[in-house]
Amino acid sequence: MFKFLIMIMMLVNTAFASDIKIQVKGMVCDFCASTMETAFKNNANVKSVDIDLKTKKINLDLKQSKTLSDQEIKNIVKNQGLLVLKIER
Amino acid sequence: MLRTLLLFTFLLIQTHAIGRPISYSGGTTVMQNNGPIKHNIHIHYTPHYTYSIGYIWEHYRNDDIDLNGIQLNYLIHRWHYLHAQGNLYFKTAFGDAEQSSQHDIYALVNLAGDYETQSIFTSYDAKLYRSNGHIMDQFQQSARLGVAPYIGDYGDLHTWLMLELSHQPNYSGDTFILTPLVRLFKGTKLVEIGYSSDHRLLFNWVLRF
Repeated sequence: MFKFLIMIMMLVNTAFASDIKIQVKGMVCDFCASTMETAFKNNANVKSVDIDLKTKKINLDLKQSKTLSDQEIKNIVKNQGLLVLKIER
Repeated sequence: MLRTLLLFTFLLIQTHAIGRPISYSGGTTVMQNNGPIKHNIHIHYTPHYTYSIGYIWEHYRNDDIDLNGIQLNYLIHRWHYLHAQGNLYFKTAFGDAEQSSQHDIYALVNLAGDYETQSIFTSYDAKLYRSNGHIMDQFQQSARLGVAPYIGDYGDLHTWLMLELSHQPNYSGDTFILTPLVRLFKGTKLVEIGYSSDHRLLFNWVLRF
């Protein structure tokens, strides 16, 4: 019964997890990637940040029931000197 | 003079200084260069991604000149591409120039540009120093071309093989110096090691926090 409840909780958690993929222009080195990582980690709605430098993609995992609008994402990236190319949700 | 101008125009077309002179908003950077003609240390704070301000110290070995100044770095323009980035910077500094216990007030005007992908790196940097006496009246320019033998992901150790050509017509030593170097870059730490055509060791490092 306990295991069943744990499984249900995990499924619910997965269903509500917010995963956002952001493709950024000009992210060519670890300095840029580190800048983006710090900027998103400092946002109260973001749970974790994962960066793929080769594809120029930033993967965001948001905290439960938190949101981040496209405009907020664009502003965070722009305020660090880079530009958003695409946002996938 | 014309040949020199043509050479550097060619390099400019292809072509960054060591680390970018501006960090992320709220970031602090410490960079130290130990090159063929001088040592310097630059500590700067970045309030906004378009500019940084900090302290710079430079020591010219041959002429025994010390500069202590305040430096402002400004991003004039950034070109964004999916797999590349280009930057044009204006930098200026002023402060005290000292040689043999004599003091001048010096000013620096510096234009720098770079273009880089994850596999190609090019840069150009031109500096003009003027002082109210004669201690620091110099023009210096340098260009770099680099290639990355492999492309790493974020957090990997990135390696660059680079060639730096510097020209300092007012210098008492070699006016043209060629320096092959290796750049090692991981996260917010960067180190460069090279050996110049005038038999000097190059050792540069950058730390961001």
